[in-house]
Amino acid sequence: MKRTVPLLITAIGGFVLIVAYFIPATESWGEVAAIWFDVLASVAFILGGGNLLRVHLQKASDRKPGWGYSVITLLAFILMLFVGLTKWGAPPAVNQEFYGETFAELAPASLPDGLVATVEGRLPQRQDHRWLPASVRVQFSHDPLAGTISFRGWMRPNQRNDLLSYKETLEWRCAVERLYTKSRESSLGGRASYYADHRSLSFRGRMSAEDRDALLKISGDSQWTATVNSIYERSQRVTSVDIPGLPPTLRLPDDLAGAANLDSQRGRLEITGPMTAAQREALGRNWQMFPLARPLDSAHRAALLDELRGLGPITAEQETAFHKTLDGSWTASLLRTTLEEAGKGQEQDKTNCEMFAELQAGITDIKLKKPPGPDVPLTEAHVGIINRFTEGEFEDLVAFVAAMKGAGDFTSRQEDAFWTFVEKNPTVGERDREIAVRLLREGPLNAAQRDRLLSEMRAQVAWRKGVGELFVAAHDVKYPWSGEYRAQGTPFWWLYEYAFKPLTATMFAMLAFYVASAAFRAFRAKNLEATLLLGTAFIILLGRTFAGVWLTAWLPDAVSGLRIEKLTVLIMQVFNTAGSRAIMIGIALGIASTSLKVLLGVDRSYLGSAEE
Amino acid sequence: MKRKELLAACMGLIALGSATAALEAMALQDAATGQVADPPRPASSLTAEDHPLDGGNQIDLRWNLSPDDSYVSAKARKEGAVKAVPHYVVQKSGKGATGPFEDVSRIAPDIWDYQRGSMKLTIEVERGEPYWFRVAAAGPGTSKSEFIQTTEATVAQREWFDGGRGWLALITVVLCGSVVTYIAAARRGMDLKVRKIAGLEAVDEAVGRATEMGRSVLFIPGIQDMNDIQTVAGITILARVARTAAEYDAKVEVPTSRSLVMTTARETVQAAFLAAGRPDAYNEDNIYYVTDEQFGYVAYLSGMMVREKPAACFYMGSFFAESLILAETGNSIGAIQVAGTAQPAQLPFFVAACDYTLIGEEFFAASAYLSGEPEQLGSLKGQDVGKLIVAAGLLIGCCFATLASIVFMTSGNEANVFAAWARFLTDTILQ
Amino acid sequence: MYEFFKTLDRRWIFLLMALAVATPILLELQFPEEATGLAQAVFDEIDKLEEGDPVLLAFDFDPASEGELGPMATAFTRHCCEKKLKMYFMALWPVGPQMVDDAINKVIRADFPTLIYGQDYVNLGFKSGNEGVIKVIVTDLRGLYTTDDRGTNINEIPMMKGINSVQDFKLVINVSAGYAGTKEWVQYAATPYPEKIRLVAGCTGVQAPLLYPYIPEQLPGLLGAIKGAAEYEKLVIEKYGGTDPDPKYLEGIRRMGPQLIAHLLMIALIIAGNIIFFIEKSRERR
Repeated sequence: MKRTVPLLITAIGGFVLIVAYFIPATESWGEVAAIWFDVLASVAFILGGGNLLRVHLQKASDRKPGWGYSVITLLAFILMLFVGLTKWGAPPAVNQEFYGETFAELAPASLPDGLVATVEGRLPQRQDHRWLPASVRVQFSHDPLAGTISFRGWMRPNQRNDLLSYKETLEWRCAVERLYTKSRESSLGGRASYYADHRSLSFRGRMSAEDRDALLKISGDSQWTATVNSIYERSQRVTSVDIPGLPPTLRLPDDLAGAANLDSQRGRLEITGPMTAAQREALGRNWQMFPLARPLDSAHRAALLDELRGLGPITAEQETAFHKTLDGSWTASLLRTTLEEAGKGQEQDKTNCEMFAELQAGITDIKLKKPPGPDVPLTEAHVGIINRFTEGEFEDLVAFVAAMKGAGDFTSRQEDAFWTFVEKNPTVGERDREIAVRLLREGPLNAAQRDRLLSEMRAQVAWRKGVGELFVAAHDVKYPWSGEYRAQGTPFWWLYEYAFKPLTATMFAMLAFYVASAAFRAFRAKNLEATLLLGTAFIILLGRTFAGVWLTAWLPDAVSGLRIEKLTVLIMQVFNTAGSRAIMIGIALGIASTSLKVLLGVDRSYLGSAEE
Repeated sequence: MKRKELLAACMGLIALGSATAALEAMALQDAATGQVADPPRPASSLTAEDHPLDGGNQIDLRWNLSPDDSYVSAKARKEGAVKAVPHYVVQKSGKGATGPFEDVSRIAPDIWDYQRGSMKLTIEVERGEPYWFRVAAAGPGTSKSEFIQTTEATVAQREWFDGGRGWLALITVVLCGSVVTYIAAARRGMDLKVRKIAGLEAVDEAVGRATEMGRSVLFIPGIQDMNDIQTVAGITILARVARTAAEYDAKVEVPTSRSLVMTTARETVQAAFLAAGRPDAYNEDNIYYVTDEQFGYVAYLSGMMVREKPAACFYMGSFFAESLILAETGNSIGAIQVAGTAQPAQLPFFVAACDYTLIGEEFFAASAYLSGEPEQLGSLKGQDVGKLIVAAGLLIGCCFATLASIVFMTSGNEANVFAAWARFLTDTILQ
Repeated sequence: MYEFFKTLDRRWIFLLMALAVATPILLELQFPEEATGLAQAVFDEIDKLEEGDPVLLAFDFDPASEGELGPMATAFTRHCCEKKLKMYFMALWPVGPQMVDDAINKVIRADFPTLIYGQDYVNLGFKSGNEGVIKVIVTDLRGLYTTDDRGTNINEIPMMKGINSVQDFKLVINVSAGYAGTKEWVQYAATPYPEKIRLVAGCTGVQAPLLYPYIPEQLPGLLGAIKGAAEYEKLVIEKYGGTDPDPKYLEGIRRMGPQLIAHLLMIALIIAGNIIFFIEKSRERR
C-alpha cells in the first residue's frame, strides 16, 4: 500500500499531463495538476524548516563539535524568518493603498437602490460559456425579459474595460458605454468609488460638507449614512509637516490654497484630509514657487556672470562651459513648434455608440477613427506673445495661457502641450544647479559661488521632500502589511544586501581557485585524445581574451581564419556544438525512457528498493 | 568500384533536382525590372476556415496573390530592385461584416507562396465568436489596393486533438512504444546485454574502502527537487549505495538541499537497510536537510567534508556551479569520488576531479544496470531504437539540406524539391 | 624543486590565482576588445528595432553570478534606453527582481531620468514556476501577470496596452545564469513560435557551449560571459557612448583584465603540470 499509492499518483499525474498536452479540451487539467504540485511543494518549506530546527537544536543540546555554528544558524534562521514574515519596516504596497482615498467598509448588498443604473441592453451569449469578468460579477445584473442591464454602484474604468472585452458586438459595447456613463452620474466627478472585492466605499481627496450631503441624499438607509459619515469624519484630519530652510517669502499658488496651508514663517505645510496624487504633483512641481527658467540673452548672461565673478574668480574654461550650458536652453521657436504641432488636427477614436449608430444607419464600411479636424495654426499675435514670454514676460503662466486664448484659437490640446513643455524644461533652480555642475567640472568654485547657484535648488529639493512626506503622512493606511518584505531599507533588505549577497558571490568566486588547481592536477597529455584536448584548451583560453588577438594579429588576411579568436569561435560553433548535440540527444532519450519507467512503475527503486 | 557507383548515384540525384528546379524556377523569374503599379491590383479568392485540429482559437486565411506581386530575390533586392507589393495588410472584425476592421497582420509572402501563387495565414481569435476578414495588397509608400473581404462569418471550433502536435504524438508513441515493446520482450525472456559501466562497478569498491578505513560515505543527490528526473536517478543509485553500506556496516550520510528529497532518501535508505537485513542499523538522522540556497549548501558540504573526511563521495543528481567546488574539496581530502549527472556543462568538471563519472545516459541507465532486471534492461534497448530514429533523421535532414544548397548553387533556384523536403522535416515534423 | 612541484600544496595555486586576479584590478589594466560575430549579432538584433518597440528583458540570475552577468545586463538596459525602446523587465529567479532594480537604478534612473515608469519601462517582477511560466506567458501573459512588481494592476499600466503575450514583443532579451534561463526560453518560447518570438541572450561561461547548438535559428545572438559582455559594451559605446563613457558602462571591459591574466596563469599551470608529468614518466621508465 505504501508503495502503491505514490506509484498511482505518479502514473495518474504523468498521464494527465501528457493527455493535456495533446487534447485541447483537457488543457486545464494540466494547470490543475500544476497547482496541486505547488500546494504540495509548499509543504516542503515547513518540512525543511522543521528539520533544520531539529537537527541544529539537537546538535547544540548535545554539545557536538561545532555546536556554536548550529546556534548561529538557528539565530540567523529565526531572525530572517521574523523580519521576513512580519515585513519589519516595509512600507505598505503603493497600489494596495489607494493613496489619496479614504475607505469605509460597506457590503455590496448595502449599496442603496438609488445607486443602481439601468439601461436598455442584453447580455450576449458566448459559445465558450465564459463567465462574466470577476471584477463585475457582484455589481452587474441583467433582466432578459425587460431587456435591460444594470449596475449597482459607480462603474470604474477597469470594470468597463472588462465588460467591453466580454463580447465584441457593437450593440453590447454601446450598451456598456451607456451603462458606464449613467452609473457615474452621481459619483461626484469620479471621486466616490466602490470596491466590491474590498467591500469598501471610498472617497478621493477631502470630503466637503456639500459632498457629504450629496451622497447622503442618495439614500436614507442607516448603514449608508453611517458609512458616508465615517468617511467624512476621517477625511477632516489635519496633517502637517515641517520643511526647514524655505525662503520666508514663499506662498502657495492660488489654485492650491484651498487644499493646503503654508506657514512659510515657521516652515510648516499642512493639509486637511488625504492628499491625492494630482495634488502632490501640483504641489511638488510648483511653477509659482519655482519658476520656469527662460532663455537668457547676452545682457542677462553677462549680469549673471558678473555676479558670479563678484563672488570669486571664474576661469576662461568655466566661462565657455557657462555659455555652453545656457546655449542648451529652450528657445522661442521650440515652444512655437511644440504648440503648432499640438494644434494640428488629430484623428479621434469613435465611441462604440457612434459606430453602432453608423451600423444601424446602414453604413457599409465603418471606420474606427473620425477624420482629423482642421488644423489650428498660430497667429501673428500668438507668435508675438510667445516671443515676449521667452524674453521673461508673464511671470504668471496662467496669464500666458489666457493671453494666448485672447489672441485667437488656442485649443485645449495646445494648452496641455504647453503645460507638458513647462514640466519638461528646467526651473531656475535646476538651471543654476546644471551651471554649477558644469562649472565645477572645469574648475573650482568657492563657497559663496556655490551657494548663489545652489540655494534655489536646495529649497526646491527640500520642498519636494516635504510634500512627499506630507503625502505619506496624510494617508490613512489601509493594509499595513501589504508591503514587500524585501523593500529597500528594511532589515530583510539589509541582511540580503550586506550578508547574503556578498556570501553567495564569495562562494561562487571560489570556483576560479578550484578551476586553477584542477587544471594543474588533471590536465595531463596522457594520450593522443588528451593532447588534442589540451591544445583546444589553450586556444580557447587565449581566444577568450585579448592575448589571442595580440598573439596572431600578424597573420595576413588570407589566412585570417587561423587567428586564435576566429579559431575559438570555430571550435565552439562546430566541434563543441556537434559534441554537445550528441550528449544532449542521449540525455533527452535517457530522460524520456526513465520518465516512462517511473510512470509505468517499472522502475521503483527510487521508492526504496526494486522489491515490493 | 562501389565508391564510383555511389558518386554516380549522387550526381544523378542532383541532376534530377536541378532539372525539376529549373522547371520551377521558370515560375519564379525575378520580376525586378517590371513597372511598379501604384496602387497594386488587389489579391483575390479570400477564404477563411476554422483551423483544423486545434484548441479552437485559430482561423486559417488563404488568398491568391495580387497579379502585380512577383518574386524578387534577396540578391536582386540588394541591387536595388523594388517589390510592387511589399506586403499584404490583413484586417479582422469581430463586430460585423461592415466593420470596423482592425489590423491584425502585415505579411509578405515567402518563396514557397510565390511558387503556389497563393498564401496562407493563421490568425488567433476567440473560440466560438464570429469573425470577418479582409486583405489588401500594399503598394509602395502608403498606397494599398482595394480590400477583398470574406462575406460569411467564420467561427473557430475546438477539436478533440491538437493536430499541430500530431507528429510529436507519433514520435512519442514510437519511442515509448519501443521501450514498452522491449520491456515486454525482456519479460518473455529475450536475452539482453549491457556494456560494463566502470562508474557503477566502482560503487562496491568505494563503499568497501570507506568501511576499511572506518570512515563514512557521503552521498549528495544534487540540488534540484524530486520533480527533476536526475534526482530520481540519483536516489535510485542511493538505494544501491545504502544497501552495500548496510551489508558492510558503513555509515552513509545524505545531506540534501530539498526537504522532499530528504523524505524520499530516508524512505529509500530505510528500505535498503531492510532489504540488506539490517533494519536496526538504519539511522534517520544521517539523512537531513541543509538549505535550499545553492551556495549555502555548498558551504556546508565543503566544511563537512574537510572536517569529517568521508572516504567515499557520491555526487548523483543535478548539479550546477557547485560541481567543481565539491569535487575539488573531495579530491583534496583523498576521498574516492563517483559522480553522475546529466548537466552537460558540469560533466567536464566532474571528469577532471572525480575517479569515475557517469555521463548523461549512463547515469539514467544505472537503475537498470544495478538491478539487472530484464525488464529494466529492456527499456535501455528501447532507448537504442530512439537513437536509431534520431540518427536516421539527422542523416536524412543533413542530406536534404546539403543537396538543396548544391541545387541552389547550380541552378539558382531556392525553392527546389530538396529544400521543400528539408522544410517539411523542420517545419512540419519537428515543429 | 621537482619534489616541491610534484607535491605542490594547492594553496600556492590559490595564492597565485588571487594575485593574478587582484593585480590587474588594482593596476586598472585594460585591454582593447574586438567584437566577434555573435556579439555583433546581438547588437544588430537590438539596434534594428524601431523607437517605441516593446522589448522583454528577462533577468534570470542572482547575486552569485552578478559579477559575470551584471555588466551585460547594464549594457542591454542602456542600449534599449538609447534606442528608446519600451522595456518590460521580468525574472524567473526569486532574486531576479533585485537584479532588475539594480539595472533600473544604475541606468534608467541615473542616466535616463526622463523615462517614466509605466510608460517607458515596467518591472513585471518574479513569478515562480520556471519554464512553466514561459509556457503560459508565450500565449497568455495576463493570465499570470495580473500586476507588476509594485502591485499595480496590469490594465492600469499604459504601456501594457496591446501586450497580451510574449509574442507581442519585438524581441526577448534574456540574461541567464542557469536553470531556468536561456535554454528554457529557447525551448518554450523561441522554438514553438519561430516567426513571432526573436530571442537574444547573455549567459555565463559554463552555459555558453550548451547554447551554441541553438544558434542561429532559435537564438540569433549570444553573449558568453564577461568576454561577450565586453564585446557588446564596446559596440554600444562605439555607437552611443560619446567621448567619455561612465565607468559603469565599461565594467565588462574592465573585468577582462583579470580574466586575461587568470587565463595566462591557467595555461602556465597546465604546462607546469605537464612538465612534471613527463619528468615523472621518464623517471619511471628509468
